[in-house]
Amino acid sequence: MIIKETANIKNKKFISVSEAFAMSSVDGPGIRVIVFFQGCFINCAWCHSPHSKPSCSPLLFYEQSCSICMRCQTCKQNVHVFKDGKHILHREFCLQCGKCIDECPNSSVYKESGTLKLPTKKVTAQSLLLQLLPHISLCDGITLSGGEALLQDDTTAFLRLCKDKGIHTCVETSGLLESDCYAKALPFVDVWLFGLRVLTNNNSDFHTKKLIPNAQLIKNASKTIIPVIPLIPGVMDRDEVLAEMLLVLNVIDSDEIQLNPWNIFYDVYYKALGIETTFLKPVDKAIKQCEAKVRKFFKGKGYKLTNRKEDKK
Amino acid sequence: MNFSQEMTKRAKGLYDQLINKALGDRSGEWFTQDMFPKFFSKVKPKDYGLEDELKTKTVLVRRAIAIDIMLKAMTNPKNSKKTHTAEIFEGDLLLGVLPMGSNGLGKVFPQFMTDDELRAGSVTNRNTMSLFGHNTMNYDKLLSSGLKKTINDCDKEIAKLLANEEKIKKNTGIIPSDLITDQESKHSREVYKNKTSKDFYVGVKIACKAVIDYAHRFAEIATKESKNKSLSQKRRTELENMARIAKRVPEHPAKTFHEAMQSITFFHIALHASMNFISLGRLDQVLKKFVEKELDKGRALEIMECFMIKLAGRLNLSSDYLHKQDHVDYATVLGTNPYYIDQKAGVNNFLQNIIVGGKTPDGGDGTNAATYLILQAIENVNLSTPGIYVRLHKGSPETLYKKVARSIEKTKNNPSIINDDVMVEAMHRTLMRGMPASKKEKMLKIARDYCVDGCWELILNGKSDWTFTMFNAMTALETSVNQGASLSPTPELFRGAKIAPYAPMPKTFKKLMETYEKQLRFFVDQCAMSMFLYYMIDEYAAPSPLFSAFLDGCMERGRDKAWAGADYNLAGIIFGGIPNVVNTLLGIQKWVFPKKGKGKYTLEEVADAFRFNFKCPDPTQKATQNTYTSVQIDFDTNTPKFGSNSKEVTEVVRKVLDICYSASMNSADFAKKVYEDKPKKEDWKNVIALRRLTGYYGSALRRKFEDFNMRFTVGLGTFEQYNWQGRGIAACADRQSGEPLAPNFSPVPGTLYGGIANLLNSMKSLELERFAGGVITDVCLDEKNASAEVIVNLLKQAIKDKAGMLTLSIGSEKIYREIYEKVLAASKITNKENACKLLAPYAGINVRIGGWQTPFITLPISHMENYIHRPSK
Ligand code: SF4
Ligand code: SF4
Repeated sequence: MIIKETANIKNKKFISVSEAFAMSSVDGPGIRVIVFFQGCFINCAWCHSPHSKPSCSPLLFYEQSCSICMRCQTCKQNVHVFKDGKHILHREFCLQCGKCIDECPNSSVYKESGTLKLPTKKVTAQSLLLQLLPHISLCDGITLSGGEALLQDDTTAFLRLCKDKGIHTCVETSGLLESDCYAKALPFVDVWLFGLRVLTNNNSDFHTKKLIPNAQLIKNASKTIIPVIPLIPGVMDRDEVLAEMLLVLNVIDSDEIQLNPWNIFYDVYYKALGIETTFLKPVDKAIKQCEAKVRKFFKGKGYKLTNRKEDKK
Repeated sequence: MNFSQEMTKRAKGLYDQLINKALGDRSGEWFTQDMFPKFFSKVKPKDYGLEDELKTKTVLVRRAIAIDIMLKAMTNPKNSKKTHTAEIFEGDLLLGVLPMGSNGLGKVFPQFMTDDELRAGSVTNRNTMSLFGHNTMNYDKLLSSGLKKTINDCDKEIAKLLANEEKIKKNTGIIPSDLITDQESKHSREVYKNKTSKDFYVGVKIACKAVIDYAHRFAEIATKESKNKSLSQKRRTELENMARIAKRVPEHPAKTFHEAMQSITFFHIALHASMNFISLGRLDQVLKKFVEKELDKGRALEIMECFMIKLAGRLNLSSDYLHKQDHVDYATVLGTNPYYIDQKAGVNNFLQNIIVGGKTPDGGDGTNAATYLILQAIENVNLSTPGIYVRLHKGSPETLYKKVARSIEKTKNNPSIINDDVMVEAMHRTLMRGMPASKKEKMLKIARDYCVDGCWELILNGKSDWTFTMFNAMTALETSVNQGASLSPTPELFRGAKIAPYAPMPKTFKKLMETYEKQLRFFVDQCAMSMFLYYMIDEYAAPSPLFSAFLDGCMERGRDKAWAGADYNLAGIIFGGIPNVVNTLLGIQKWVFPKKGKGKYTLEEVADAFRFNFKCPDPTQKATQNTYTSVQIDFDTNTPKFGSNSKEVTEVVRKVLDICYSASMNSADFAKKVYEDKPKKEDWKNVIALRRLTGYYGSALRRKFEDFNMRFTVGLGTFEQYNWQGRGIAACADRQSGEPLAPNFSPVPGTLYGGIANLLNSMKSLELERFAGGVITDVCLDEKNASAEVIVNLLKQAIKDKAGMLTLSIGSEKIYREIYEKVLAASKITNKENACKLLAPYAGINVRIGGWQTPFITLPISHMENYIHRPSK
C-alpha cells in the first residue's frame, strides 16, 4: 500500500517509513498490517533492505523496467546520465526532489512499483494511523518492522495511539538497541519478535551481553516474546553461535522459536541502490543445511520450531 | 451443517466425463434445423387441440408448440446420436440433458415465425432468436403445485373467457392493439384483451404439457436402461427410482428432495432449450423444506453435485472449435438495433445463477441447511457455471461468513457477494418511486426478496420481468470535451462523428461537469425510451408462455410477460466505464483546471492528445508530440486513480455517480410521460405528438394495461463487455485508444494502489443504495494474502463499508502469465489434440470476467492480458 507523505519540514515530530503491506500472515500473530520503519545502525552483513538503513532512502532504480526514454534527464542535478545505451545514476548529487519520478512514464508516486522510487515517507503518528486504519480493520493487528522502528522518537507515540484504538501491536527488533528504547515502548507492545542476533557478521563479537538484559526487560514486563532466528548459512549454524543463542533463550523462556528463512531476494535492493552486496549469496545446499542444523539443534533441546512462511514477494 | 468437503465419487465420474467432452470438439453436438419438422407444413394443429392453420395462430401459441417440438427433438434417439440429449450419463441421479447453446455461441430453436414476420422484424431487430432470458421464475410454485395444476387453471380461465366472448361478440369485431389509441372505447379493449388472454392460456397449456411429456419420455428411457443386465443391481434400482420420479414431476408437486431437484432440472432444461436462458433465483429458500426433511444428507449432496455438473453440461474448454459452433443469429440481443457482443468472452456464459442467503421478506435471515448444501456442492464441483451469489448482511450468521470464505479460498472465485444492507435498500427505493407511503411495508417485503439474473443485475425472485440497456459513460465524456462529437482522428470528419448535440468547450471544471451531465442525459434519454420501444415489440416476437406460467402475475392477469403480465417490470440503465471517466476527470481537474493557478495544458490539447492516441500525426511537430507525451504521463502516473480513498478521488466519483443517477431518473420520468402515463387532459395533444416523434403511434401503456409500471433502475458495470466497449473509445487517462475499459465498477487492473481496504472504505460515501441495477466491484486478491481468515475480515468490511456487490478471486500474476504463455504456445501447435493436452491441466482455473466466471484458458487473448494485472496485495 502507498503511504501518503503528510509531514513537512515544519513538523518537528514525524515518523519515517519506507513501506507498508496489509494482510501479511508471516509477520506476527494472525494476519497483520506490517510497516517498515526507516533507519537502522545495526549493520547486519546479510541485511536485505540496505535502503532502510539511512534516515532517508536514496533513489531506487529498477533497471529492468527502464525504457531508456531519457525523460529523467530533466533532473537539474544531472543524476541521470546515459552512456552507450545504458542508464547510469549519480545518486550522490540527488536532492530527492522527485522530479524525475514525475517525468518517468514507468514510475509513479501513487504506485508501489515503478522504475524510479523514493520510498521514504515522512508522516505524523496520527496520519500514519489514519492511513492504516482501513487496512488494520481487515487484520488482527499491526507489526512494526524496519529498519529498527524504535530508533525513531515518535514511534512510541504511534504505538500509544494504536493501543488507544485497541489495536494489537507487535514490534520486530534485532534486540540490539539501547534498553531505554525498549523500556519506553514496553507498555504499548503486545508481542515482541525478538531477533537472536548474537552475531551480525562473521567477524563481530558476540552480542549476547546486549541481548540478555533487553530480553530480560521485556520478559519482566510479562510481555510475549517470540524469539526469531534468521537462517543465515555459515553464521547462524555455527556451533558456538547456537550455544550463545541458548543463553538468550534461557532468559526469554519460550517453548517456541520462529525461523526466518534466507531471503532469496536478498540482493534486489542492492541492485536498486547501485551498490555491491556485503554478503556472499549462499547456494541452495548451504541454505538447506543451515536450516537442518538449526532445527536439529533446537529440537534436541525441546523447542518447538515454527517457520515464517516464505515471502513470495 | 457439515457436508463432505470432497466431490463424491459419483460426481467425480460425471465431472471427468464432462471435462473430457469439453476439451474436445463439440460442434457435432448442436441441433440443426433438419432435426425439427417443418413448422407450417408438417406440424399438425390438431395435435395441440387447435383447429385452424398454424400461421393463423399468434406468435405466443406458435412458440408454445415450438417448445414441444424442441423437447421432442431432444429425446429423439436418432438426433441424440449427435446431440446426446436423450442420454443418461453414467452414475447420474438426475434425468435430462441441456442442448448446446450459450450466450456467446447462440442457440438453435425451431423456426416458428412466418416469412412475413421475419421480414417485418428486420427493421426492429426482432425474430425467433429475440428471447433473451435474464430473469428468474417462481420455483416455489412449480414444486408446490406442479404443472398439472397450471394446466387445470388454464382450462378454467379459458372456459370463463369463452363465455365472455359470447357476451361481447355481438358488438364490434376484433381490434388489433396497435390501433387502440387513447381515444379507444373500453369495449374494443375488452375484445382484444379477451382474445389475447385466451391465446395466453392456450399457449401456457401447450408449453406445460410439453414439459410433462418430456419428463415422461425420459422416464421411459430410464425404465429401458434399468433393464440393462450389464449394469449393477444398485444402478438398475437407481434408474427405476429415477423413472418413477420422472413420471411424477414436474407434473405433480414434489414430495422429496430428489423429486424437487428433478422437477427443477426438467423445467430449467425446458426453459433453456426453448431459448429462455434464465437463472435459478433463491434456490436455498425454495429447497429449505426439502433439505430439512431429507434424512440422508450425503445423498442430498450427491444429487446437488449431479445438478451442478448437469447445468455445466454445455461447457467448451477448447478455443479451437468455436468458429464451427457460432450459432449466434441476427436479432439475438436486446435493443432495436443489431448490437454485437464479445462472443468469445461469452462462450461459457449461460445466464444461470443461483443466489443463496440473505433476508427473508419479513426481515429475518434466510440462511438454512439448503444454503450450505448448495455452497458445498459448488465448492466441491468447482465449475465455472452455474454462477453463485451469496447475499450477506450485518446479521448473517458467522458460520455463513466462514463457509463463504472457505469456499472462496478453495475455489479461488466462488461465490460472489451481494450486500443486503445496500441492495435491499436500493430495490426498496426503486419500488417506492412514485408510490404512496402506505405501500412502504409491502414494497420492503418485495425488495427483500431480490435476486440476480444471469449476470448480476438485481431482479425480483420470480416476480419481475427485466430489460436493460448498457451505456458507455466514456462516450459522453468524449463528446463533452469535443463539442458534441466523438474523439475521432479521421480528418474527413473534422472534429469527429456528431453523435450528440453541440456543446461549447467548457472553460472551468464546474462547466465541464455541467456539460457532462447534459451530454449524458441526451444518451440516457435514448436508453430509457428505447426500452419502452422494444418492450412493446416483444409481444410479436418474444412472448414466453412457459416462463410466464411461473412468473408472478401473468397467470392471474391472463397475460404473457411480453404483454405486461408480470407483477413488476424492471428496466435497467447500466453504465460502463465509470472508473475510466473518473480517472480522466481527475486528470483534467489536476492538469487543466487546477484549484489554484493555471493548468499545465488546455482542454483542447488534452482532447487532441486523446484523439490522436498521444501520437502527433505530423512527426515533425516535436513540441506537439512532447505535449501529448506529457499529457499521457501526467494523466497516467501523476494523477490519483479510482479506488483510492482520498477525498479528491471520492469527490469526483460521487459527482459522476450523482450525474448518472439523476440523468437516469430524469430520463425515466420523461420516457414514462411519453409512453406510459395517461396524459392529463390539457397535455393530451402534446404527448401524442411526442409519441409520434419517437415513432410510436399507440396509446399510453397505462391505458392498455391498467397497472403497468416500468420501474427504472440504475446499475454500474460492464459485464464481460469491458474489452469490447473500449474498442471504439479514444485514449483517456488510464488507457490507450481501443484498449479495454475498467471491468465493472472496479479500478483499472494494476491501479489498485491503495489496496483493497481503501477501495472498500471509499464506497461508504458513494451512496450506492441508489443503484438497484447492481453495482459490482471485481477484486482479485493475491494468493499470497488469501487465507480464509483474511477473506472473512474482507467480507465483513465490505458489508460494513456499504460496498454493493463484490466478486473476489484469488490468483497470482505468475499463474495467469504461465497460462497465457501456454495458450500462446498452444495456438502455434497445428495438432489440435496436442494443443488441448497442453492446456488441460489448467481447465479448473476459472476467473471472473465482469458478469460471470469462465475458464481462464478460454478467454480471448486481450482479456488475458488485461487480467494478468489484477491480483492485488
Ligand atoms: S529526485 Fe530530483 S534530484 Fe534526485 S535524481 Fe530525481 S530529479 Fe534529480
Ligand atoms: S524516465 Fe524512467 S524510463 Fe525513462 S530513462 Fe528515466 S528511468 Fe528510464
